[in-house]
Amino acid sequence: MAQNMKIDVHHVTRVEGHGNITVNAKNGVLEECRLDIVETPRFFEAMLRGRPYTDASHITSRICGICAVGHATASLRASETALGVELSEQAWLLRKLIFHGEILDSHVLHTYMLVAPDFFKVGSVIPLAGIAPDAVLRALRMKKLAGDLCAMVGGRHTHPIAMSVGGFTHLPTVDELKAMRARLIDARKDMDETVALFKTLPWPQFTRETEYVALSKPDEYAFIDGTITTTDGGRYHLNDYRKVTNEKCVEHSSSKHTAHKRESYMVGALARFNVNSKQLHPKAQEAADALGLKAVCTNPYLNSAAQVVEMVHSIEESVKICDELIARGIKKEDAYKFAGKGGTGVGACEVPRGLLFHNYEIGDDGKIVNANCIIPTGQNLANIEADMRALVPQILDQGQEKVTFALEMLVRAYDPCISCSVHFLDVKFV
Amino acid sequence: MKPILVLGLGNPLQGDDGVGCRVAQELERVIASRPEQSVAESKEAAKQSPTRESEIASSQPFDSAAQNAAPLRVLLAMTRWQDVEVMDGGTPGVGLLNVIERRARVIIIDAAEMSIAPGAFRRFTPEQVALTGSAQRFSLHRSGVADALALARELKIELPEIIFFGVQPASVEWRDALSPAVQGAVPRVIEAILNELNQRMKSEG
Repeated sequence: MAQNMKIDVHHVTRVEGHGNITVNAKNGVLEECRLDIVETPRFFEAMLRGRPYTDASHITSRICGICAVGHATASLRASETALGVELSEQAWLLRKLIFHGEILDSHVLHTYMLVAPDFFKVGSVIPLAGIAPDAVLRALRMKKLAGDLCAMVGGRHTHPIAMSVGGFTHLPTVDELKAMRARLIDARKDMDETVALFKTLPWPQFTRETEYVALSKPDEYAFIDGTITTTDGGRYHLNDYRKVTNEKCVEHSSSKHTAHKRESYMVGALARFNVNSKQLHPKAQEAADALGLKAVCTNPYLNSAAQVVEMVHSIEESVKICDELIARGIKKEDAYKFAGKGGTGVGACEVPRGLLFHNYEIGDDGKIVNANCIIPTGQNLANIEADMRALVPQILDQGQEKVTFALEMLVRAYDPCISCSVHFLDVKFV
Repeated sequence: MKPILVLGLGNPLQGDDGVGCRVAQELERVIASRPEQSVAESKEAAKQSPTRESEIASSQPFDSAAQNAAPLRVLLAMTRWQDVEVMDGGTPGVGLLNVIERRARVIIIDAAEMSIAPGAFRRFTPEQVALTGSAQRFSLHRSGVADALALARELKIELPEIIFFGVQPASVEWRDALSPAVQGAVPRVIEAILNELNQRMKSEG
């Protein structure tokens, strides 16, 4: 074995896709300002067509290790709607519980490891671990809790295996739920310290009137199912999702852009907060107050603050769901049996970075005939560009380095889905 | 928790990037179907490796019996499976640290760009190579093994002994199957892992 061999273990996954910010200003006038990110795996439809509906959630959960539960949930809801499958109360509680686990997991990663380094003026979480090890260790503790919660319900780490059409193939025990509940209670201390840390961060001041789009439900802060609701007053049944997304091709990007009533809209934690903040758990509302977050907030940088608020909400809701499941006891439930009749259905949920749609047509043989998927990052692209066009003229006199940094931070605030889109931000001034 | 973890990493929807997952799935299958096992073990293995999931990337099923019957059977019989867990870990990012913590030894199978022939694979430890991370461009969502290990080092988190089997990919385009070259490597990688496990168990008694 050679003493030194140059090996890039994840070289392969790190170079796919590209994210370019292009800014072109001449004599102080902005001539070009755009973002290119590769969108949803373009073979989404092809990889599902002809496959049994029972495979769909397992396949799509592999699109991303961060949104694995989110893709699985949207996929299952699409199939369940298409096939007319009703979920039991227990299955709903478990679906919500694992979803909160993923929201917590992803938001911890994004806020601590992607956003926080900007405020500490370091390039990544690795040097951050050198100067603020307590914060990074706290993030890893919270991430472990979230990962273990997902594994308890989903049957294994990272990519859930127990979630299936109609319910779950594996169930947590009451003892596991009790142990998890105790850990969630313990995590409140870490959560309090998280809010305390993030409220000290000097968020960039930038606002722009924006339409925010999120699912909403009458009785809860919506993550799974609901009505598509916008801050401009739009309300749509999930079946009409295309009336909101209006995907269109744009010349400069391989990705499609989406727009509702305005030139663009935003999805994600800030959009959910702006649409549904009154339904947050009281502790999460306190956190929002502490962070200075008030609906309707039009500063996109505060999407990360909204994520911190949702972390509080997810921890508290998870405690409540554990309590409910412990009180009910866990019952084994019959698996859904396909009745030989297909159909069409839309599954929608609020994954960590925003509204996700899966839309399937299932044939009478149980195989998928057509599939469509619209990811949050795809919906946010046009809005990020609109923000950039508004922001750049305001800060152009600050010089190339500061403009670059502000734009990188802006893109990061949207928490773009790296797996399906981008790894590196290359800022070019042409 | 079992002290030894055999962990396949990667994305099976990105062609050869999924080779680690494929190796883990196939290894689970051959372990579950070995003749020496008890009924209880067989049930446990079946639970952990539902066929449906492992069929995701099944372009050419790996037939252990046809390819390498005698040595594989011997190797399987020798390995103390009560100490070994096999996991298809997908793309855990920094979550890798949660999966490997408190283990004694972790064998990681992953696609690795090594500028060698597609399907060729190498065994190495983190100390033997310069893992090209991206400390300045840490991108969490698909951050690789190198980033997770660098973070652990920075935080002085105690790690288990780690052994890599890196497999050179031919293509990592979005595609839910392995290339023929990498598919062909799967049984050889499994044999190498079994050898690794047995040699160590033998030397440790």
